[in-house]
Amino acid sequence: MPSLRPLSAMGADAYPFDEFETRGFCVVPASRPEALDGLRSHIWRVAMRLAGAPSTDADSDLNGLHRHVHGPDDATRFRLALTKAITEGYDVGAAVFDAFDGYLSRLVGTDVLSQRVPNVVFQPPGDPHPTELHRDAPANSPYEVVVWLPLVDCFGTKSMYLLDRTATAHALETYRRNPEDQSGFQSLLEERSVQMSVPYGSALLFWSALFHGSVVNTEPESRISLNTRFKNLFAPLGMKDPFRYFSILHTTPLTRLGMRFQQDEA
Amino acid sequence: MSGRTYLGFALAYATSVNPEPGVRRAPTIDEQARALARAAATHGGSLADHVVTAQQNTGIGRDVLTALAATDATGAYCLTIDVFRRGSVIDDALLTDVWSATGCIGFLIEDVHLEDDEAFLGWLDMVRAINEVRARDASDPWRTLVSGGLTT
Repeated sequence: MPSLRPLSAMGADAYPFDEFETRGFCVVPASRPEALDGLRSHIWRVAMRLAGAPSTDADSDLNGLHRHVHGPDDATRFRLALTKAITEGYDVGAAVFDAFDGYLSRLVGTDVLSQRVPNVVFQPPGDPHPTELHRDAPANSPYEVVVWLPLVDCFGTKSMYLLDRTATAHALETYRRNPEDQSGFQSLLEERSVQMSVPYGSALLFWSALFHGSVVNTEPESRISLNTRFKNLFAPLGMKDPFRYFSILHTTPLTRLGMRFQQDEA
Repeated sequence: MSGRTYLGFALAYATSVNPEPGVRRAPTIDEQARALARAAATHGGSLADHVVTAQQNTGIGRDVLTALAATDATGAYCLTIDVFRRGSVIDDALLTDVWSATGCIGFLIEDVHLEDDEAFLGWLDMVRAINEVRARDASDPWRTLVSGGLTT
């Protein structure tokens, strides 16, 4: 695994984006931590209300969320209810972009499409439904960035794994040569995948074409995280219907002028 | 609650199976009409008896403006924005005319319900931008560019 450059003291302006291009991912601290804290506080309070439990401390309450659900089906119901509740009257995508604007604007620009409804992942200890290995693109656009945002410290099996650009390309080549060789593919995954360590306060930004997934959470704490996607308004589309999955987050004054001009000329 | 009468717009899919991954078959026009009626009721209105049907990839024609006037509809409820889509392009001029005639338009699959000019214009911006992107993505010069790759 290539070593991760320590970024805790590094601002977005100084971030070496050539590393993102080389590896396809980076772990970065929020460029506006107060925006991230506001988002987490909102989700924490909604989660505790749904759980019917008092809010005491965000970190311990969210890490202990599994104490309020009874089995995998209940965890799924809770996750779906939480997804709906946190987006009612609150633009989660805008809050995520705001918290990591310094990096995301450098990646997708300032005419931005934001995923309309973020995905909430809730994996209590031992939950038998981790996320299977997959990559978003295709069917998503390869011009999308995925923001994986833990709301608690995520490490070891409580986190997720991914294959960097080189490993993803190697995995694809291996699969195409020997599509029946599942054990060989599994060995490659174990050898080349990187278990991400992402503390609360940071996010993993990764290219939509990277393989990623998670394993059963064997830590004694809950994993709760969001993942959402951004792309430039004018970047090529994937196969997913843009009107269902995205809405405009930002446009620049110049873009608006240009669009009005085209409209008037037409 | 609006108490509006919505003219429904259904979409006759070009194929009856797999309109998209994970969906076993395309909904029938009757199923769409029932879903549109429920959506209209959710917004405190009702669906006009007549439902306009667009052919997938062809879209509705300008005669829908006549249909809107004939039904005294004060809103439009569409299964999807694709009822306005002709090939890769959404007919934004017709969409704007339907908006001007009603001041209220909903899209069931996209889960969008527009009732004010600002919201509609924001949606229209996205429609126009996506039209531009789809046209460019399908063009030969673009294919040539991306197949060569960018170095800077």
